Amino acid sequence: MVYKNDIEIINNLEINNIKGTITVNINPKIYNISVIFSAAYIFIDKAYVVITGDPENEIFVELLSKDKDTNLESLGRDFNNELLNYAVYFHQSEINKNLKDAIIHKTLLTNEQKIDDNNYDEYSDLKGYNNIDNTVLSSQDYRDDPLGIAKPWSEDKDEKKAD
Amino acid sequence: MTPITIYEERNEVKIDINTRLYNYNSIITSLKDFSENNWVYLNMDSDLCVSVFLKPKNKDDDINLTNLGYEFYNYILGIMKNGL
Repeated sequence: MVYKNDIEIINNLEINNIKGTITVNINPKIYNISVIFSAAYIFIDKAYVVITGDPENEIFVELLSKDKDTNLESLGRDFNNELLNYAVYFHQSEINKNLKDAIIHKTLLTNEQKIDDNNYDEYSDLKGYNNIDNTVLSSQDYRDDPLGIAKPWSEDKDEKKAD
Repeated sequence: MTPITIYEERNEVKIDINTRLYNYNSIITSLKDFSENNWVYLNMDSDLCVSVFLKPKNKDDDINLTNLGYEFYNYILGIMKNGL
């Protein structure tokens, strides 16, 4: 542990007890920007987060706890753990990316069936639908009723009289 | 160095944001949301940094300007995370 101008330094953590902040120094070659932002997002409920620095060389994440009683060192160490957590997550995602894509591709194509002239007869439903469609289209007048489905909703006067 | 500067006499806070780290669209989206309750001003000092000035519209509210600045930083993070 090193002290420098009231700032306590522990590994990559700089604790400023006067301001109540902790700065985490991160090498972007170890943890990339996406990992840093994902880890930082986890902390916005319990701390104010400011990210500064040079994305090529060194990034500083400053955490100012919203709760005055929070142990700053624990907060910084939690941040380090969260960085590792997301680094592993992104690494695993990259490894599984091709497999995931293949599964989604397979799932989406499961029900796709090619319809061509050779296997057209297998699709009896489609064929039947097509016939009905043709019959309807070929009839010149809607009153022809080639399928015999047109029935009046009200009873005939003749039928009433018979009753 | 904290990139938040308070101007007590003007009741205003200046927030310097590194555009190499924070996405520019997320900054202006956040700024638009903050413009409901604050007077906002965006200034570009260099290609690497923009300055955002926030001044609360309601003078009667006792708003902590430092916290307002930090809230703005957290808000940008949220916008970036949600990909808006």
